[in-house]
Amino acid sequence: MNEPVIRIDQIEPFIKATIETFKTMVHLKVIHGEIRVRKPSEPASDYSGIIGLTGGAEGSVTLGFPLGTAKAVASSFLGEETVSESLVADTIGEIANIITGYAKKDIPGVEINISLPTVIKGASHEIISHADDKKIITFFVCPLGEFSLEVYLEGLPGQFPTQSGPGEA
Amino acid sequence: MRILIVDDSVSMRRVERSMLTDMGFSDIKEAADGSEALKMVSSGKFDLILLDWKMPVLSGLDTLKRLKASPDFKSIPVVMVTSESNKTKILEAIQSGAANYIIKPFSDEVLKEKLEPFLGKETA
Repeated sequence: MNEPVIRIDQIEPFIKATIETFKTMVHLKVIHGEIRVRKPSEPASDYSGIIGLTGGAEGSVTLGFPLGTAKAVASSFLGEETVSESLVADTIGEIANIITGYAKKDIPGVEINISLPTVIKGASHEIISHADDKKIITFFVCPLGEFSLEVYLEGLPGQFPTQSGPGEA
Repeated sequence: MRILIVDDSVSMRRVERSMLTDMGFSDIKEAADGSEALKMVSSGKFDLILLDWKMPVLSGLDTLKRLKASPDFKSIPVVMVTSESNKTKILEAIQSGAANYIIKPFSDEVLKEKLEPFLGKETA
């Protein structure tokens, strides 16, 4: 079976948006690591913020955090030491929303609508969808821990397949 | 000066409240969607509204249009604070009466700069 091609032109806006969002609103420098096709056995997250994409292109964006990183990121976003579980979930959803909204302005040629965020909370939960073998996962590291961003986009005009290594976008 | 923050995300409302508090404002109210915002505006005077776009119940754009269609509330400056970055939609908001437009993510400096024309002498 052929490995799906990573379309860096689709992923770069999301990497840039993640770096900018964390810099501006979470007050953290983040660096992206490996970019690859999501594996069926991918380690699951404890908090997932999911945004649906419709319109000129369809798909989803999933921002996944381990529990400790999610709490620390929410704390830094809010500027509060103690953050309730519901507020952590709300923050993860809002960050996913901001990243997706910011990224879509750098995807030319199509008008993409984004959904309200959905947040799934639960130790090592697994999200299964028909597009699992088409999702591109990017790993990020920041001083508060690691997290991931999965992007699935279908229907965009023009494809420029290439590969990318670790570093800043 | 009385400011209303309208956003379905409680964390985003807290961040905006914190930024406004740092700018010297203390009379700040919050609404979780457009419908709640319209009720609050109807029952109390506001000098400035920060309005998210994507919200359940009643969207920011529909809320903006209803405010601007009302002789009683059309003079309240409404600044959109949203992750909606599509140029066509930004133009639609401005044409519908938005006084300014802030795209998330944004810093406290950007918020202050965008709100400056509508703020009273309370700002630092």
